[in-house]
Amino acid sequence: MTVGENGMQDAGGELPVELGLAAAAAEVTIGPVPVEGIVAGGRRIRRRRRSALGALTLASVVALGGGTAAGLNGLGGNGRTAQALQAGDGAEGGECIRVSGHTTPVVTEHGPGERTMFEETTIPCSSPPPQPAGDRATPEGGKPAPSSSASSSAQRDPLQPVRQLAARGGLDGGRNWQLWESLWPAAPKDKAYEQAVLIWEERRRFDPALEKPTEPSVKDSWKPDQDVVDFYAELDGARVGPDTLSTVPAPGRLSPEQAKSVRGSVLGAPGTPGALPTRLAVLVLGPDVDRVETVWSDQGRADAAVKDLQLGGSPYRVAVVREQPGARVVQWRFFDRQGVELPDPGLRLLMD
Amino acid sequence: MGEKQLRPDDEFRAFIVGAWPWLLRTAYLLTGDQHAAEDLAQSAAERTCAAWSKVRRADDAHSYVRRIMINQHARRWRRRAPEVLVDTVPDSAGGEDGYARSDQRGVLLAALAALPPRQREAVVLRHWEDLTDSQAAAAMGCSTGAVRSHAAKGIAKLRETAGLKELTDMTRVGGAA
Repeated sequence: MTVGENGMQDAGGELPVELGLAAAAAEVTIGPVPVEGIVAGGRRIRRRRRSALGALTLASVVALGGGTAAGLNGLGGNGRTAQALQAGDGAEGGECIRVSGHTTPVVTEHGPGERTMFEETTIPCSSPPPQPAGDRATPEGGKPAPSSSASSSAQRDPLQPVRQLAARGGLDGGRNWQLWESLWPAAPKDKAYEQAVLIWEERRRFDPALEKPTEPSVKDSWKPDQDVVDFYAELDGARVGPDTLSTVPAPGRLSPEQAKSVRGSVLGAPGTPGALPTRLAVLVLGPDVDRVETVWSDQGRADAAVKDLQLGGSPYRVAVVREQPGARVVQWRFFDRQGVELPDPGLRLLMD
Repeated sequence: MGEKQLRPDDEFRAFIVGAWPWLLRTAYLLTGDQHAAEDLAQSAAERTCAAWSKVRRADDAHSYVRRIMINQHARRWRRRAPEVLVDTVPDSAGGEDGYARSDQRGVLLAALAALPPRQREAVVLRHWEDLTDSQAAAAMGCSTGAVRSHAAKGIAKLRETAGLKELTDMTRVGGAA
């Protein structure tokens, strides 16, 4: 189709714009729709948005906790790096350090992945009875890593992370996954940059796109009262990206509001090379949150095993829920230690 | 069970396959270049996919996509220096070719591409997408008055350019001379 065929040439200088545009538009070559590329791109954007949302909510929740706002360091730079630099919050809490030593999991080079950040919500509430793991969606509860060497609670070295196996499970084909948590104790200001670099060095092996933190950005956003917690996955014993990084108040720095907080992120990206081929919802819970129930789209319900973080004396708790084939989560329910349901924190994990 | 989980994705796939020709043509008029159009259309489609849970609840998914694409186009324009893409080097064409229909189409595209982005968007939305002023305003995120103003100015420039029917105009419009 040409312009002239649509009468444009006969217009004698008057341009029938609509026809002209139609003729021009008809010139476009309409090839195959790159559906898969579009869908993959959409998922990438979604993960990035979740990361950004998590970062913002994390900062706000920490601020709500009455401590110093754990602004994500260097958000102006590389956000992923910035997250590793957080440290700080102020409040109350108990110290019960149980260091799992330095079980450095198998570290194998993998391609970059995308890290997700926590969605976080504070829920008002308070305390007791846990529930057993559900019959589904609940990976095996983690046990201290076999190679962990428990250390004295007094040893909180900001340059030496402590690690623990948080959960594990099996996949089709006999493959096994493990979810690890590592905790970097809050660093004093003179060691904050060194800690940030160590965290970056560890993470960049699995995400080369991470930018090295700068000393000014670390010092500007340094907070003295927050531990850094990194959740990462292993597939058949080899670490795979992406990880998910967050902060929790250091022992003795937990505010009453934070005791009722719920955070979550999704780890794993099926179909993405170098990533865990299943999705795990990783929930970090305040110590007063005692039960997590998932309601699934096929009407199923399951309780997730809730366990203490048990690292570096952190009072926080962890629950891990694996995605289920053919179903999605339609509701997350949280209960305190008295069995009272907490207000819906609005988590959207595994809902798509 | 698997179908349940994939349903939103499948819905999106069906939607984008149906909307793609329209999306690409509009992108082409906005950018004036096949490759840039594909890039813009894909980018808008990806963002739509990312927000599909929200889009699918909207009354008109096409409006949502259109808005995303206009925003994307505006952002890209802000990020780069003004540039007009033309298929042919203007001063290489002979005089007779200037009256060829395909060249006139090229003239129109070049003229369109030479318009300021907001005028171009208004012209495309009003005269290609056939939107009302208020619909175009919603897509562009501005007032109906602004849409009318942009569209009127844009049309005036197009008429002026196309009315000359000379490739010398193409040189001027394309800015490549």
